[in-house]
Amino acid sequence: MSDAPTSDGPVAGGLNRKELLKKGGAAGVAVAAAGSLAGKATGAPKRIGAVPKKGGKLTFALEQDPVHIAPFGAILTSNHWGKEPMYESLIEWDAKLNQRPALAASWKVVDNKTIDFTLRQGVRFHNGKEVTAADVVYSVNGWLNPPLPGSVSTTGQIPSIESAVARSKYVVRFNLKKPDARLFGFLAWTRYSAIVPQGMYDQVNAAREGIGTGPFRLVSFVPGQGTEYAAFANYRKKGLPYLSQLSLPTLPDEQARIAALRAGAIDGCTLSPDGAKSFQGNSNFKVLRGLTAAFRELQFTQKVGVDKPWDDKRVRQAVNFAINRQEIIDKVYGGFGEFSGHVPPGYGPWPLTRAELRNKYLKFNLAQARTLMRQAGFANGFEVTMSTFSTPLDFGQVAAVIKSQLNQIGIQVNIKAEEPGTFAANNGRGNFEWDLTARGMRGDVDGYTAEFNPVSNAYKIWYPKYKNVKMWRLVGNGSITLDPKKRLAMYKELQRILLEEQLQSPLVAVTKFQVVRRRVNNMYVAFSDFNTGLKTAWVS
Amino acid sequence: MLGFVARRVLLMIPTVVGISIIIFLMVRLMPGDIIDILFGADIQVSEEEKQQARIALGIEGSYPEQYWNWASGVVTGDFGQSFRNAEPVLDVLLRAVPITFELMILSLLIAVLIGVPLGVISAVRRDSSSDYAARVGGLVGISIPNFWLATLLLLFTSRVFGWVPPLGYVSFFDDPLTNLTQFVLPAISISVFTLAIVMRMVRATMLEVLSQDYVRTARAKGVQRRLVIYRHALRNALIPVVTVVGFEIGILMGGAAIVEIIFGLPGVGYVLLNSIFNRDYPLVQGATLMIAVIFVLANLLVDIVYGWLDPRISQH
Repeated sequence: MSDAPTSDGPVAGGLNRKELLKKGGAAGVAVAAAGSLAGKATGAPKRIGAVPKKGGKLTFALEQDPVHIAPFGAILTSNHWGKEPMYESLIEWDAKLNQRPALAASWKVVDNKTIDFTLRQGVRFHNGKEVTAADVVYSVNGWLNPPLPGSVSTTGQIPSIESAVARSKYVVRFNLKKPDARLFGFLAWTRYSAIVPQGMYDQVNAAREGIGTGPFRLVSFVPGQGTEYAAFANYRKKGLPYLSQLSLPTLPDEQARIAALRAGAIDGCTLSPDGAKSFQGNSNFKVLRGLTAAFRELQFTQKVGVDKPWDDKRVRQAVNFAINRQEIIDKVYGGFGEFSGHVPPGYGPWPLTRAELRNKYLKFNLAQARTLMRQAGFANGFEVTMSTFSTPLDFGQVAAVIKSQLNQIGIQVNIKAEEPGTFAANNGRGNFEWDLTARGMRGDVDGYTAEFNPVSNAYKIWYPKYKNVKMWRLVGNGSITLDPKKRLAMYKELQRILLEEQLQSPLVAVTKFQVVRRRVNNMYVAFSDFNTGLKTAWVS
Repeated sequence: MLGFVARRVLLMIPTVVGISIIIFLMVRLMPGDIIDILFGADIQVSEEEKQQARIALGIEGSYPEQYWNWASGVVTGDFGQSFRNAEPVLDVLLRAVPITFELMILSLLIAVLIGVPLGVISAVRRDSSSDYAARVGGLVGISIPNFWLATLLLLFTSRVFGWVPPLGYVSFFDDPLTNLTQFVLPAISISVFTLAIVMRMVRATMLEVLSQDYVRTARAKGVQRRLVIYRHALRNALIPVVTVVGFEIGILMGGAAIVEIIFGLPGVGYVLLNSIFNRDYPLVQGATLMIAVIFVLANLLVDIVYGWLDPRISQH
């Protein structure tokens, strides 16, 4: 499984083999084309170079209601699904999570607590106003103190920004409370870092209206029903968007989405693996799939005054070696998924390689697991309670597979399925023995390792007994090192230590499926769990 | 009659107060509170920050204190604000109620307009093939879960006709045809159970009434069979049916919640399920109270109609 988005049908923006042959034949090169296209259809479109078509409307159903589309302090992922076509930030990610300038043309690190962003000139908001440093300052204040319906609970995701100051019309200075490398990823993520025109919250009802710089301008948003967008004619990227209209209705029921897709009422949507399977082989649809940042992991606690078998590193390592991740992928996820380290595969350059994970750190090795258990003095195993989410159902299924796998080294796992709110509460308070939990998208790699920083609240709750100076240094320095190259090396080393220490045992990254009608091109499953592909999609 | 109505209205007050207390407590007894969910992904958050959020959401203080704040607001029309989008709960409900109301009216219409004639035919032609067909149909109607039927109807129309109801709610007053097209499948889905109940009830009461002396007398006097059935028998047979239909409103509302989700109709049920999922206490409380009040009002209406149809009831 590749980290890059993949497709069972023709790749987004491409043509299928039949179409290619047809086109080749029309050009009088059918024989040559047939020969050259004997390989995978997915490679072909690059050679043909399908020309995107302007215009048309695309209707993509959301599985969860956005509830509101306010740019600052929105909690739900679905909030962002509703608003992402209209908002942008200073930096953006490409499809492979490489950072690139967006509203900022460039930036300069003045010192480790001061960064100057120079804005692109001539970029317009949807209301025609030019983007200036004053707008950025206004927006930053909104990130830090999100007005209603935003929530202060999102401010934990924001790096240590002390203030933003306009130095000229197009230059804005970010003053940090402390050196913080998370800033750039946070901006690129866009989820909490939208740039809006100064005073927007006084001009419109931000929960239901919005003014951004993105490829689409808002036409209407009705909670519970959907969001309508129209192409923004003055979008900064010339030629984009291709679509003239984008509609995002809410259809929470999967069967309703499937029916709507079949009937042509919508052009695409997200489906479960089983739902997507029903479109497999249907030439009217393309089944897209790709890994997202969501991965499952097993978490242990190390508490003072509580002696548990897994205080011994060898026991944690034994658990890791006794878990057959491929079996989890095959049995629970129908063969779609990937081994995940502490940083999920697909998260830019940060995760360890597939080979390193599969062949070394996460290798299934029952004999070694038994040996380690014996050496730790637990040859006969022990009993433990593993808590997990009651929904989605895959958590219970993964727990059942792990239970049977660990039984082979004598560990009797009692599964405790908890309602998500209860699980979150217990997890946050450290009220668990083992937790089978999950992670999601983060703006910066530090988001996946911050709990191993001994000054963090999480560390004090989960691992107060555990000491590892080398790990502490890497976590602490990683978050304040602004040089990306140095940082990358630090996080790779940190991940190797974490996989050796096994305070958490990452399991598998989950594949997400989206199905679109054949006429939809350039769509892909975004790693971020957003629907970024809609910004550049086109219909034929 | 006036005294009867007044008594019923007064009885509504303790009923609604009791319901509001139960709703208030049940929402808070749900495992996992809004704060845990809001901060679920953030492991770095401190207790102080959580406390700050609690204050911001107005969920500080003892339960009686919180209840008093909420209930006194409700009395003045202030149901509070949604935790999730800060929108006044009343606005959300006022947007949702017409959708659910229309769905229920249409479902009741389908149930009554089909159920009553079927029941009459079944009773009048007792033990005939049409009677057996209606009875079997009634059993099937009672047995089919409405969410299953809704899904089946959607998949059937999409596969066979390549058609599903138009997306995005359109008001009846803006575009009646599109509106009715949107509601026909959901209304059928939730009406089938009530239809079957009405049909069986009408059949049973008609059979009872048809064996009454006054019916026999009317026939003996030479009144036409059709007139006897519709003017004498059916009119009296419908009295208990009115009660049943009143109770069915509650069942229809329960069914509407799931069916609204399936068809993407943002009615009260849709709002309620989403708000439960989001631990949006004010919205859960507001939507549940609204449903309870509608149910209580429907029963009041049934009582009044019943008293009007049978004056003996109101005299007691």
